[in-house]
Amino acid sequence: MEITVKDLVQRFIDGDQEAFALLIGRFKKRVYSVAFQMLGNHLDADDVTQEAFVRIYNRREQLKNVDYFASFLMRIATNYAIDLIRWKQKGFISIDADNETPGSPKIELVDKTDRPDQIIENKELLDIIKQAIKKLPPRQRATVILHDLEGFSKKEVAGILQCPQATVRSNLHIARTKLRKWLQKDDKGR
Amino acid sequence: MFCRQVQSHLDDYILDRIDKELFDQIDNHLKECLNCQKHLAKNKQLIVALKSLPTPDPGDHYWQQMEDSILSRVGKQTDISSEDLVHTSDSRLTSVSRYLIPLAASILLLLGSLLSDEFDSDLNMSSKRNVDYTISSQMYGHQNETSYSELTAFTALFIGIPGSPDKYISLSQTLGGY
Repeated sequence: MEITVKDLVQRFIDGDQEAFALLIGRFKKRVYSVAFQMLGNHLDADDVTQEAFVRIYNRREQLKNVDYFASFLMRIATNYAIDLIRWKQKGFISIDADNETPGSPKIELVDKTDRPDQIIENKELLDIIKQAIKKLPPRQRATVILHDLEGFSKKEVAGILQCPQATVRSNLHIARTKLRKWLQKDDKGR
Repeated sequence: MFCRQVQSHLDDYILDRIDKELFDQIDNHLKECLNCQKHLAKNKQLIVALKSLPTPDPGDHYWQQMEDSILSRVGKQTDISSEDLVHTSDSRLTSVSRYLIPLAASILLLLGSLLSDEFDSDLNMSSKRNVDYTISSQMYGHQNETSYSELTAFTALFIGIPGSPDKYISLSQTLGGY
């Protein structure tokens, strides 16, 4: 019988290193996936994943008051990823969410087909979607990735990002509108 | 169902996160409502596009390495924090001794200075009683030098300045002369 996350967390709080290793084993891929989608490259995703687990290890006392380990872990990972994005934005080009990045590739948008999933298999198109996601402000990006890509509910996203559900709904709406707009611009420009 | 209700559940409908009963209700509404169909199409295209973004799997070797790396970092942190505790107590001792020696030296200087003043006043009284003004002045000068030598030697002896024993000896000889 598989040990529940709750039991593992309790053992981890009590200082069981093996339980910590098991928790890493269970959640590493999900944390990596969120980090990769948010930052768009392996090195940063690796950094965020490792840092999230190291931080949760250092804060294991706080886990006593945490109901959902996964949400708490994702919160740490997402916050670190957001910090990393902001840090990079300060260091390089300031990304204005309402401006199209000059020279960005053009897109064959999916609304012209009945089977968009087949079209999206195109690598170029995926790259364009990734670029569009990268143009979103960090918290909107996190909202879209956690909700639409990773399948967290709005309530869970609100818990992870520590904001009201109404903010999640609003961020989701704004982010999707922007994404649609950018992708359609690319489509028209082609 | 009303359009507003349907639209609030459209995300979950697309992502297949609702129970069958609600799914069927939305399905039935969508068959009849063009406006909600538009909403569905608009969101579905984007969500399907986003859902299709792949996350690369770096492979089992990487996952194992990452796990080892995390455990190693955590282990090192634990070691460092224990070392930090020892190091902190050492450095506290060092910092205490660093401040204690100058403090002791300052107290000694102060005491020496007070003693010196007292010694000087005794000497002045003695000079007035026993010798004439000229001799008294010479004596005063000599004693004054002695008192500073005494002070230096006394302080040096306690704070461990090299060469201080010689000064201490000369001080003893000087004091012995009185």
